[in-house]
Amino acid sequence: VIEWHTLCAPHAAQNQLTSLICQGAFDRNPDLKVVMLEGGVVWIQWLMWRLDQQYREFRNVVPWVKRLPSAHIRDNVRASSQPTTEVTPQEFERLVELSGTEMIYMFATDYPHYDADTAASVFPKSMSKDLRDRVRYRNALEFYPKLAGFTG
Amino acid sequence: MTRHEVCALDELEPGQMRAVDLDGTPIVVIRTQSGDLHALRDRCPHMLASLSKGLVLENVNSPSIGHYELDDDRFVVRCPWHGYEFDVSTGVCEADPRRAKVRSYPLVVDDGTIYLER
Repeated sequence: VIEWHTLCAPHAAQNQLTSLICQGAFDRNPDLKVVMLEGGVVWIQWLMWRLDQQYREFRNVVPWVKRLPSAHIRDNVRASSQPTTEVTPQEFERLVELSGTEMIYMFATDYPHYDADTAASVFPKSMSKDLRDRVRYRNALEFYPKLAGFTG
Repeated sequence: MTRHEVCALDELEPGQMRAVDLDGTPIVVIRTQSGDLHALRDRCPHMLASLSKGLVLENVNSPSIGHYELDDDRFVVRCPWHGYEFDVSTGVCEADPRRAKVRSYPLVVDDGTIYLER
């Protein structure tokens, strides 16, 4: 269960996201929006850095990809918070700041699974209001077309 | 602006490069397969490899997903270490134009001799 819980969803999310980018899904469909669920979020910064590095070195094998992979992720991909990794709010904020990914994260509970998260535990008041609000509702309002016009 | 002699034009075959030390500045003079001449700083901004030890190639483009084509009017120099590619005429790396770029320098050919101008 440790192996499954640690790797299953985050690995699947990274595999799928890497294929979507390298196979040109976002270049062909610039309005395509993808949300990765139940895989957590603290792998996404590494994936962006690694994909960008590989793209800088091997753009010629995927010449149909016209932008840095991290740009596609910022514009077209979101990831839900559950399951949280046990980092402090300050550590998470630092990671977000380092990677420029404040628009990526959206709150999810995974209720009624035993390891569900609550908003209060994941995004406590010690986190900056701007990032808390983004994760709790603003990122979703901006990302889902059917929520256009809602202001929270 | 001062002229610095590089070599005779016919000493540099199409597709070849030549490393030049210009008062301590490493510069690569490139002659593309179509015969055009360009000069770039001879250091990849990634890890400072000499681009002059890499390759001059037609840029790889794509008309659609899964299909490759070569630009016959656009050339890149490919870094020998990790493959970063820089447009020979602008020094810009297409994969990351904001962060990866090498400086380009003007060249002239006068009476069969290539000169760098600086």
